[in-house]
Amino acid sequence: MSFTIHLYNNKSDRNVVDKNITKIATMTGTLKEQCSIVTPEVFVSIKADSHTNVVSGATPSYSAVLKNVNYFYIPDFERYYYKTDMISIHSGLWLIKGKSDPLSSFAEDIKQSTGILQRSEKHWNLYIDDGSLKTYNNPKIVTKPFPNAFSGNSYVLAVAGN
Amino acid sequence: MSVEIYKTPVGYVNFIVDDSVYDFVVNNIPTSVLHIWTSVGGMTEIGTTLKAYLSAAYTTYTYRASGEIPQTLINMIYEITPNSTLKGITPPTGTSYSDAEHYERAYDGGTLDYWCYGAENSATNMDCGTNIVQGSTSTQLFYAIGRLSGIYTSSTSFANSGIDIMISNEAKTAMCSIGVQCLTSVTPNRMQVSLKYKSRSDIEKIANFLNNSTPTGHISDPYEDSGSESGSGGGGGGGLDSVSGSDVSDPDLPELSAVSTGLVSIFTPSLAQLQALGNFLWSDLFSLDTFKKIFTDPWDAILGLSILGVGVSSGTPTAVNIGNVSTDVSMPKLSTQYYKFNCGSITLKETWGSYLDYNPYTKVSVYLPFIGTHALNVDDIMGKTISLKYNIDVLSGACVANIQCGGSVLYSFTGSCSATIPLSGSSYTNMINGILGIATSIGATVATGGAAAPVAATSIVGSAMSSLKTDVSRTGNVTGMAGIMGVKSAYLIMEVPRICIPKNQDKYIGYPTYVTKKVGDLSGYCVFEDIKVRGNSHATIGEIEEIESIMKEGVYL
Repeated sequence: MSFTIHLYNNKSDRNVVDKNITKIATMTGTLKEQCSIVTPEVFVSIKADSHTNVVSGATPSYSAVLKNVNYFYIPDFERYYYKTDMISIHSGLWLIKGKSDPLSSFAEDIKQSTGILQRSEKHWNLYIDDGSLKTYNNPKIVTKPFPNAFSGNSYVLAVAGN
Repeated sequence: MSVEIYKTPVGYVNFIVDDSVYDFVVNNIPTSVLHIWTSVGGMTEIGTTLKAYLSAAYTTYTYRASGEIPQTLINMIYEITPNSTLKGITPPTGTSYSDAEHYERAYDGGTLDYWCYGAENSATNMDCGTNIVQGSTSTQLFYAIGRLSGIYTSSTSFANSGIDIMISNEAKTAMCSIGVQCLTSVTPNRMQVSLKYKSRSDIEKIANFLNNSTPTGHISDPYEDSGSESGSGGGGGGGLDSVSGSDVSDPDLPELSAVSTGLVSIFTPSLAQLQALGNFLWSDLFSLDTFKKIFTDPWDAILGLSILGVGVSSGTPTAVNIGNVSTDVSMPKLSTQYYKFNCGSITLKETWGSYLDYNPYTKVSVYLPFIGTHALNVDDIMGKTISLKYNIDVLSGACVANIQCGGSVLYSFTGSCSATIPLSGSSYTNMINGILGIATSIGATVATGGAAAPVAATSIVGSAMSSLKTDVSRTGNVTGMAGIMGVKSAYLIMEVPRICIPKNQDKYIGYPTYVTKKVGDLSGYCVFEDIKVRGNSHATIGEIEEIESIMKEGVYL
């Protein structure tokens, strides 16, 4: 089974929905038999002198593909994948192993979802005690006097009668 | 108008707005804080590209600081306001600019370690990048940025009644605010408003907002509503709406008193009057025969003599009769037995604008003269005005301190504000017998202990008496003079936590939210308590579980 595969360099962490990716090449690849759509293994031809299977765009350098590709997208599967391994089968033929990135693959579905936000960078209510605010062990001691103090003393003599 | 503002993520701020004088006092800024700033009459935008455009001449300027003014700051002041007058400071050489040069002269704040200027009859605009974030016209303006911990004070007056204030959403802060550590991140306590205010009442709105009063007008609340308490979709009935009550106000003084019966008279004599009375009682003028028609002992007619720790207003001078015997001594006679003393009130403001301002993180106790120190529940009093009033019985010395929080009296503590003066040998003996009895007992026990025994006895006796005194001072019993000799001013003792906010905590950890949101409406770092990924997703169940797992661990949207 042949299909288009977009090769990227990903600079974002795993928990980023909209990843910072740079496209390196778009090629045709062949799916290895008996593999999963979640963890596919794809044969691509990457040669030192030329890449006969480049679909579009400028032909990337051999080293750029080998070194920088860590992420790819297969339109037929509508999924982004992390490159988990890249194995040289023989001269110019490589087997790229991947693992799906569901966060980016299904970003639109995620954005339509609703959830209970526990913590956030931009929406917050600091009156909820979740222990996120740390304090030093030396509290500040402050005294606040009331404005009117007692003043003076009096002798008090109580006697019987009027 | 006087407004105090305590509303910064780090540090302690006291901002007083008066009719003619604006004072800023900033202290207790931790050394970790990069920047602090104050401003009057202008908007502040903190950034490395901050520029100020000054479009008029400056005639007067006054700057005071508690510590040494850094030369860097002085140079900047003169660079921007060469006509300023800094008391006792010589302007650096080569810093003279004409008015024309001032016009649209831009100063790139650079790292903004220190920046300050003052002006009169000036118009200012501040520019952050390409966006004008502030336009202001005032007669005088003060602005300072510094990383020094200390007290910065500015005094300025406004010839015009109106003060232009623009609060910029980009600026992430309010004009009447003071903030810290804001070069690149927005700390949680900073209010974000986007409207323009031009009147003094608007300033009050801002102040009220910063003081956590109910926001009025169009000021937006940065706090996310976590939803109603009652919720929906199950659970028991009820809710906070059903919890209502009435305020319990400060109690009135009793109507019935010993004085009103006519059987007892209370005087507040001076020392000379007491001495005159004593002289009379021990003289031949005192007719014992007349006295004995009613009493067997002259001292029976004197119900008590005490020192009251409170100055009582003088009564009407009246001749004193002891057992129907006229003494020819006149003393002020009180017409009432009870007095109310108002200690005033304190408004307790939040320091951090967070749960740290409440129990158990912030602790408050109150010292009450003649009573002692008692812990208060900070949840009862935070954000409220605490009023303290004493009800005092002059005859017995009993006093009750009623602490009113908000509308109701939530705390009442009792004590005594008088110390009895012994008038006879028997009363004196009764008063000290307890102490001497303890001393004798302990001294006898240790007497066999050798030469050091008397010293030990004395020491232990002292300890026993000290312990008794401590009890008196705490409980307000009339056993001693502790209350009278103690501090006569009531005060709150607050234990306020010092917050530690690492840089970019909002981006790495976030702050508590607990609100239901559509993911598409969010941005930045988010952690979900629970989420169900919906839509016509063709993700496998394993992928959906992975998505939900990541979003519960923390995701950047």
